[in-house]
Amino acid sequence: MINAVLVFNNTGQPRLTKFYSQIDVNLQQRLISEIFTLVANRPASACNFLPLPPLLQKTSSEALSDTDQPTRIIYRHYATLYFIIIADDLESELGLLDLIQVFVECLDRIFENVCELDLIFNFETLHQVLAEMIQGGGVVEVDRATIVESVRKAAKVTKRPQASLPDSATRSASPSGRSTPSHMAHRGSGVTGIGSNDFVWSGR
Amino acid sequence: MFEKSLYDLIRGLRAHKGNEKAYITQSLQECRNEARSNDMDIKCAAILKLIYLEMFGHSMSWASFHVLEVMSSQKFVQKRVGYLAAVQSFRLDTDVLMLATNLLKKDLSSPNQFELSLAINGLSHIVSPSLARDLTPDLIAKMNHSNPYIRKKAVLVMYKIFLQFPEALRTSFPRLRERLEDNDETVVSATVNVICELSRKNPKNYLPLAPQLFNLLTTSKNNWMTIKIIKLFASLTPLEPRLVKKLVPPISNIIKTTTAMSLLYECINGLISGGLLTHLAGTSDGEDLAILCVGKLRGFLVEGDSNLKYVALLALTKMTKTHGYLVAAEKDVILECIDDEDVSIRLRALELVVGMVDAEILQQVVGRLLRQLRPVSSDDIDTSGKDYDANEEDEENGEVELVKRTQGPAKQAVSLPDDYKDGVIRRILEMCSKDTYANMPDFEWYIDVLVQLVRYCPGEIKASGGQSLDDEDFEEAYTAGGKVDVGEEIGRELRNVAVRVKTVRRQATEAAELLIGRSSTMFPVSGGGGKRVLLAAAWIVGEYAEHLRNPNETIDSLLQSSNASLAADVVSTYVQAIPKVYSYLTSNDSIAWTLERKTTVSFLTNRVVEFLETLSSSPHLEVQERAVGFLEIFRLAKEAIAEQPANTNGVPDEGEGGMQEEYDPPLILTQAIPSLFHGFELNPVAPRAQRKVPIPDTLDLDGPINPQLAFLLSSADYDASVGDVDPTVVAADQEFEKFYYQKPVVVVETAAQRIDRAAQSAAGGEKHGMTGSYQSGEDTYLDPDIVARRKAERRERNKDDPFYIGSTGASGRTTPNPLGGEHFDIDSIPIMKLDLGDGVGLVKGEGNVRAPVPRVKVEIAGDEGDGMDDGDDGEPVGVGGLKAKGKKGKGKNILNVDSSNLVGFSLEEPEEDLLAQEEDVAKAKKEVERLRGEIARAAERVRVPTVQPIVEVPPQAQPTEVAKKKKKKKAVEEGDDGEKKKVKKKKKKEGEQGTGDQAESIPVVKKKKKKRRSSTAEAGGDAGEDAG
Repeated sequence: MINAVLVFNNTGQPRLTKFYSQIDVNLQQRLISEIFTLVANRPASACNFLPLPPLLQKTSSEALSDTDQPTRIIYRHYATLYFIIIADDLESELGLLDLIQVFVECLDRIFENVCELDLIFNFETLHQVLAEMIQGGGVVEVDRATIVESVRKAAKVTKRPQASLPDSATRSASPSGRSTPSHMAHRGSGVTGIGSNDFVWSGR
Repeated sequence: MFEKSLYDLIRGLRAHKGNEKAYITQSLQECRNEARSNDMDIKCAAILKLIYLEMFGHSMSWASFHVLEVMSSQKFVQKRVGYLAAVQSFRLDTDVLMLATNLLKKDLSSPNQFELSLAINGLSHIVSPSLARDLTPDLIAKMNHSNPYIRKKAVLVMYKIFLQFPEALRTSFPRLRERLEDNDETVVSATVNVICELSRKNPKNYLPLAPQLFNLLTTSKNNWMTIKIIKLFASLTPLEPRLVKKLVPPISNIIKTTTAMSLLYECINGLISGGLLTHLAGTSDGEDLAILCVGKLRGFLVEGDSNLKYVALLALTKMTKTHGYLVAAEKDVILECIDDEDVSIRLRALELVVGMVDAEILQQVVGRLLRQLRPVSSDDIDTSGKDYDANEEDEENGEVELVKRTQGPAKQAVSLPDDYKDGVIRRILEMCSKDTYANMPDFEWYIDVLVQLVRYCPGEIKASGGQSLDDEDFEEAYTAGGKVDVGEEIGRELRNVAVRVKTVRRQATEAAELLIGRSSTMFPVSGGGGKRVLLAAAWIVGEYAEHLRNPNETIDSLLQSSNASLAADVVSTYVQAIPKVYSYLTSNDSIAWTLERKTTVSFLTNRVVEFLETLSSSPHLEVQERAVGFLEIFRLAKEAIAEQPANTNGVPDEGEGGMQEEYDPPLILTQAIPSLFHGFELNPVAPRAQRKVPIPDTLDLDGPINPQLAFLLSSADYDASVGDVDPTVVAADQEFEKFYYQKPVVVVETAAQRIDRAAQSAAGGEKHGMTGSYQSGEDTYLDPDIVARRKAERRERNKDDPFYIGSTGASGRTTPNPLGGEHFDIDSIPIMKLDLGDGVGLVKGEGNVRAPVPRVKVEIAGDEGDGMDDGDDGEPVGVGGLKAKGKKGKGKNILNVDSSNLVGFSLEEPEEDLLAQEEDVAKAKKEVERLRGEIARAAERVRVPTVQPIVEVPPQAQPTEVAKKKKKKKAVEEGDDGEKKKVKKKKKKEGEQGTGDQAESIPVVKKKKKKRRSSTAEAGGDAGEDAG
């Protein structure tokens, strides 16, 4: 099971927090900051698996008895954002890496050249995309087209004229500007990293 | 009034950089007001803002009622916001949750698929036991929804329902099973996902699904699902070994054909964790499979992708247990990973290497690790580079390649974090000491490594471990952390080697000597940095004083006044070591007791007394106790030395000494003090050996050892206050004397009276001793300024000494044997070059000194008392600390999913009628209440002879009721603990009822259906028992 999906930026500001088990808000914040310290110190060349932060480390007695504990933290770093998934050992590490990739690609399709600001001002959409992919800690859908289509269809039901999407004028007028690269590219490899179609998801 | 939209809030936040806190507080207050608004739009906007702020840690639990309001909005947009808020903020104990049931029921029956999916997704987060119970029927219906979009979500949410309400599993399992045949792939995938989670809790239930799953495995094109199926099978195979044979062909087929790395890896992982490889071990199939796996994993390692490397190392680590030899064959690529630039890969590789290391590669691995630990600074790199070039040639024919020359990357290694260094050192120790040094090819080398490691010890990791703490605090700091200081670990190893391996005891002792000798310059004053290695070093130096190269200097170092500031436990070891070395130096009675000798010994004794005196008022109890104890002995020795006249060869001695030609050294030196330490040789003892010693019957721990102790002590005090011989305490003195000097070797029979005086006159005696030493020209014991000069000289001399680190000069200078012992074999001293001083050096076995030795069988002493029932008890002393990897207990793990309900939950309960029963439960409760009165009355009437007509009324309701309750009871008992109270209550009722109808109702029920009758009887019986 997936225990949590987190997105935060290079300074540790959360952009999306989704916990699939109910924990206290303060603990959430502590966990985020612990993971951020871990992830922020990693060189770009390091692998995408994090050791467990102190908060998640098993006590020796629990280690034997329980199998439901989160055992892996997988992250990817795109431009200014870190995408984190915490999961237990029934999930595949490499698969989750791809899942992050799928998530980012879906966002990219929906926002067209997604950047951090899109996510800030449309965090509700962010949640919707995630809900189409992961429900209650289980993966429901991994097909990009289906996910994007569902989100778009649901948006039409709202009949809201995409008020949540700021037009380009307001976007450029926003205080700190678009200092981030407009297109989030996975470091070096763009979207053809480990998660590219032919590499891992050859089946589809 | 203008309300802020979320957009405004975010912009505002960005505009208020620096004082966001105030802005947020203000915004929260606004939200509070807006949430109370009657305008749904405003309310909704407020909730949306709250969700945003919740992300930054501002709890919105207070708004849960407003969230519920928004959830029930007619507009989808608002409903969606409401559900999002619920998902993010509701907890199991949120009280409005119970109000949500109807809302969810309504949304679950919505014709709009998006509303429906919203409700399902929401439910997956907020489901509580009661919600689960009430909504299960609706969700089961949704599993057959016409739209796969709904089906997949409905299937997936069922797992969350099962977690809260396990009974639902029985009702819905047939439906769930049908979904495995669904024509939509994502639905099947979701079903597999759910079954995979369930199967981990109780795999037995899902064995019947194996054929279906197997079919999916062979036909599926969906990698994600295939991964899950393989994980699922990994949990099933331990229960059904026959599956293994079935599974091997398709899985190995996938391994061979797939291009998806994740699938490939999970296949291999599944083979390992499902025990398939273990099961097949030994067969040719199994071998082929294992070779295939290892080959693929090797591919991962050389691929160059750090993620693949990481997972491959993980898998290989698991494989070492069953196929260690195959893994070891890949050591070339694995060892490369030890030097990987990514620290997490290094750690994985390290873990793997610890598992697979053997005698052949041990030195190579340790060499690599030592290289990593070497501190990097610009000039170091140059020198070290040269060093290697120079040594490389020498080593061409050397027996072991200690340090594999690695290319560029390792050299530009960044400075490593301290905890990594710490971990590496521990790993080195772990792999070297594994299985009581089973893999150790060369102990001399190991000792050098240990000394080197002390150099590389990182500074204090935990600030709390400083020496400024008291004994208790100190101990606490270490035990609470559960981690022994890494320096202490190294010390333990050194001690272990010294004790267990007699052939290198000398080398070990010399290493300890070196550490003691240089302790003041080598370790940071602040503690840490491996300083605690001194604990073991001091012990070794004392215990094996006969192996010391230069005992005089060693005792000198031990007596440094600065030593008093070491950690308390280290000082107490020092106190213990000093008499041992002293005894070694002075006990030799073959050395003539000349004046020179006498002054030397007397001066040494004075120094010891002086040192101990400073410690005898130490705040640390252990130090003080030991110091005081030894202090008394040394005062006695001092007395004896002063008393004992020296041999006079021409030097006229005054008094009675002049009459005799020959004087022996005082007996206290030659016999009394040595006898304190020379009993049996100390052997390693298994940690639990003591338990095997039977407690003697006569052992009485409560009885006083010396019943007269109190008297003796008071008389001693009295004696002290009075001073010299006092006629009134003569009797006490005799007691006192007897108490202290029972030993046959008593030399100073009159000392009892003089003990205190001796202390007073110590100063005078010292002066005398000092002048003596000046005159004698003995250069060992000198005034402080001279000592300082001598120290410098010594340092100078040590430059050439191969045992002193920091030298770059020639190796193998022999030094004169200071002991005169005939066993001292100069050639046996290993000549090693340890380049420690500037941190450049690496341990090198000097090939030209020793011929390439094929591994010599070294006798390693095992633990004593580690006999019959060892099992895992008998772990070597030194390793113990490594194994106890206590981590800070955090109580409950925070992201833990509580699935205890599902563990061992069986599907085997009769499944018919379960649904009906659920609905009956509520009714039954009410009926129980209603019937209770009647039953009570009936029970009363039972005593009345006329039975038949009275019982006519209840049976219609009652037996049905009881049957229902019986069933329900069973169901509930399977369920969560929360229900238990209710069950108890009901039992009670049944008890009352049961005793009532046990007597009479059974014959009545005979008229009714037989089935009912039996259940009633059963229930009655049970209840009767309960009541009784």
